[in-house]
Amino acid sequence: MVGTEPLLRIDGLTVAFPGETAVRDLSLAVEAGQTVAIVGESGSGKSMTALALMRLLPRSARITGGSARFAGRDLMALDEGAMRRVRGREIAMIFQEPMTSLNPVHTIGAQVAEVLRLHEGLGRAAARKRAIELLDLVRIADPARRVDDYPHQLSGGMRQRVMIAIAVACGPKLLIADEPTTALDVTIQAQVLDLLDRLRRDLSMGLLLITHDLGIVGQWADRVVVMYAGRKVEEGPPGALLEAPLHPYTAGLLGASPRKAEGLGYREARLAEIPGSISSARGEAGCAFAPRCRHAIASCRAAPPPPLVAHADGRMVACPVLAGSGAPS
Amino acid sequence: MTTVPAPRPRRWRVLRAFLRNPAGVVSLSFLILVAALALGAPHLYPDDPMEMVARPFLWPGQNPAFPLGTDSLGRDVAAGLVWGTRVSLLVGFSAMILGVTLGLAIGAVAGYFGGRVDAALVKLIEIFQTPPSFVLLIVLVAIAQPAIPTVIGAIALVTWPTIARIVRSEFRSLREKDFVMAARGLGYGHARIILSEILPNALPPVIVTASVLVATAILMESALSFLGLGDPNLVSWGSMIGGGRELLRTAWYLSAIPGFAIVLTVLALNLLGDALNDALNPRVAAER
Amino acid sequence: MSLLELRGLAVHYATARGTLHAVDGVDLDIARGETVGLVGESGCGKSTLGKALLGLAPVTAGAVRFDGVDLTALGARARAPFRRRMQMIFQDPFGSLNPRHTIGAILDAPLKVHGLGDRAARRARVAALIAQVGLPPDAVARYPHEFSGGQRQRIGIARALALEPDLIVCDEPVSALDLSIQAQILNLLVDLKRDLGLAYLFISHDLGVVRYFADRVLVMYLGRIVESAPAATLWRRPMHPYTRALIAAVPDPARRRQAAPLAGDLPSPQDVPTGCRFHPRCPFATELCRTTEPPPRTLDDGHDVACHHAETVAGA
Repeated sequence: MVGTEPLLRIDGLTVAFPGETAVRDLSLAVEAGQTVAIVGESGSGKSMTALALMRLLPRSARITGGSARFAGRDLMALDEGAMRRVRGREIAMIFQEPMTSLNPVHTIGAQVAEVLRLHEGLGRAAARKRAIELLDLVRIADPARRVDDYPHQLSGGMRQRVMIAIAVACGPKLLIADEPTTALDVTIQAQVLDLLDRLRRDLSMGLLLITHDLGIVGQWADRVVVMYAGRKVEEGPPGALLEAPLHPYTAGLLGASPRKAEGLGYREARLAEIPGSISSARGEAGCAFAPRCRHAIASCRAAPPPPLVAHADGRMVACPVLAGSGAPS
Repeated sequence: MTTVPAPRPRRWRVLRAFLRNPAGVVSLSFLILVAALALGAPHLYPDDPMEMVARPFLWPGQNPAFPLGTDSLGRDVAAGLVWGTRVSLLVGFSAMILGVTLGLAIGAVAGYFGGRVDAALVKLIEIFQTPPSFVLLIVLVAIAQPAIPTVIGAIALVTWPTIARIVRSEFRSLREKDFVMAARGLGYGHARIILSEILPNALPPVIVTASVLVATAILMESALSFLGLGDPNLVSWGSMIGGGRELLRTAWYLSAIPGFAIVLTVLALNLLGDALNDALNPRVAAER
Repeated sequence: MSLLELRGLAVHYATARGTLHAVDGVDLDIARGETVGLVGESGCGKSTLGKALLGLAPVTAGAVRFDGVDLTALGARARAPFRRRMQMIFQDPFGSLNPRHTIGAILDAPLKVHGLGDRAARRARVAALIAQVGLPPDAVARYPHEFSGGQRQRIGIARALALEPDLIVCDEPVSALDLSIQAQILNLLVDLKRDLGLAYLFISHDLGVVRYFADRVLVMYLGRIVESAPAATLWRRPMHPYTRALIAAVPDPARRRQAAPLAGDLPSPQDVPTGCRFHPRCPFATELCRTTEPPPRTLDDGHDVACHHAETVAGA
């Protein structure tokens, strides 16, 4: 891929709150038609990364460094007017909570049509016709009738489909999905992920999927970025990363997952705990994970934190101890 | 062996949180000053404030013996103001305590038990809320004697439904919370769940409203006195404004001074309510 | 004899849009020291079932027998001694603790209400509970908001342990927690079970957690148990099409970009389909399924399933 610019290239992104840095020196790239997953627990900075890309950060947050090149522009340098033309048209976002993301007083058809009239300048009738097509595209049965439903008449899964219809209405090049299925049941989650993947392929969108679920990552992502306390600690293709994690945090997450017990019950195998909590990363000069890490050595806690080092097969990891020793093969 | 520290008394934490709020501290200091004036009235102005003591229409500052001047009958405005404080505070706090007690009891029972009990109590609340409260107040005072206990009772009767509504809606949402479910699962009785589990969580809006209610009661008493429906044997801020009404063009200070006292007291009570709300909520207090 | 037996348990609610069949005839047995997993999607009635057996949701029909005594026949007073022996752990570690009480007060109250010990004895018991769930001793004087989600869940567990119960209903106890914290709490529950001989009813939508944590698993759909089996058996040979779909829907790196196993939404419990409740979403449904509700059948040892075509499903 040398020479071709990816769809999105984040370089050194840093987002700070007063007294706290939410995202530190984050770099990643999303190619057109590719699914990149950012995985991490609450407080990892994964949602702040998404909001920073949309330039929808809370008022108290500041982008203190870095760039995000998208279609020849730096999103971090655009003014609010230019950014407003990017949002919804070139980059769209869907959120975790399908219950509150839709306006309860408007029909779903009106809400899909709204974005078409705003960005595409469609007339009332044309927008409605296109809205029905979009509802069909996200596999809502009988769209011509459902178009006049209000959000409260739909299930959680249906609402998330409507959110996706709104997001893809203008054919965005990049879709950011922040925990899109966390509030949904497992059978509905499978439907929504399936739908997102089909749309990614058909519309050749880049998909930035933010999740805490390693199973989703393994099933749907082309590339995985693991974040901890605002930093990228590991990156790679999902197969290799989940088979043989190089960072102790990734390894810890996998060990803590009951799914990894491979059918063994609590009588046979104890889950591997990661001791403590993410709050221990606060004020840590070195590796943010060091206070919870079994493999930590003295130098881990000394500043600066370990840099990301490239490994074979397009993998990167920010841990000299585990990756260097080659312990997990 | 590790010794388990005794639980820190809760009121200290609340007090510390409260003391960090300047608006609350200033308001509370002001109200303490007002209360001190009310208590000290017999010492500050031992004579009857209804008595004529000097020539009429002395403007404030004209005579150092009467710093706030005299009214049309030559009565000392400062003495009236201080004695009026007693009436205003007595009526305000008594009516609030009576109204809050009534509202808490009815609102808590309606919200916690729900069903038919709730339906009946809501009807009762609606009966009291349908007529405009001030009209109801005038009717109640007009039927009974215009004396302080009647005024207090009448104000409590027109204000309790506000508290009852707030308490009812708080109880209705809180009774569904998991911690109430947990309390039921642990075998706690209704009284304990109402008083110990739900009530402390339902109190912040009640406390805010209660301090506003004191202010409302002071305003209502003033309005009644202004209309001549107060206790005729006592000076109150309302009766002073009422007395000065005719002379607004020539001697505006007669209405303005007690009016200013009402405004400051009511404002202080409102700010105090806000400050108490913040201090009583552990989460908000911790974020300060 | 089982510690707990549910027979034909039903919880119906009258709503403006008709009767809501939250739980609609459930049989369930939990032996002393056993962990029974209850899985299903939101709205299937699993939480209501857990609350009903603790007397926290109104039972419309059926029996809840604890140690052989039918609790639904008892008045509040006669039920009180049984309340102590069944406790609950809630999903939301933020909503399940009274924000206005210290941890000490939260743990002391149940002891006080049930008259267990004088002040000194209760204080010692509270300290022991706090240590048992792995919290620092100074937690006693602090408020819930001072703790992280995982620590609050430990407090909820300590409260459930206060009255020394035989059975704890765990309603999605780790669903609100991050993965790294989940393992801590699950391990704690395993330790407590081993040390105290507890039985759990473990309610969860997360099949991975249930598979790990439960001895036996019940699958619930629209108020009914559709399949129950020992955990290992259920994953090795699911016989109800819904169970199969649930297992297949769990995201798994081994199934790259696989299509969703099940179409459609969960129907409303106010509008339960005729015949088999699952037939509108079922790829195996026949005319029989549309008209006749399948009764639960015991197929293998301890493997019950309510499906007309279970043999076909298992072989598919």
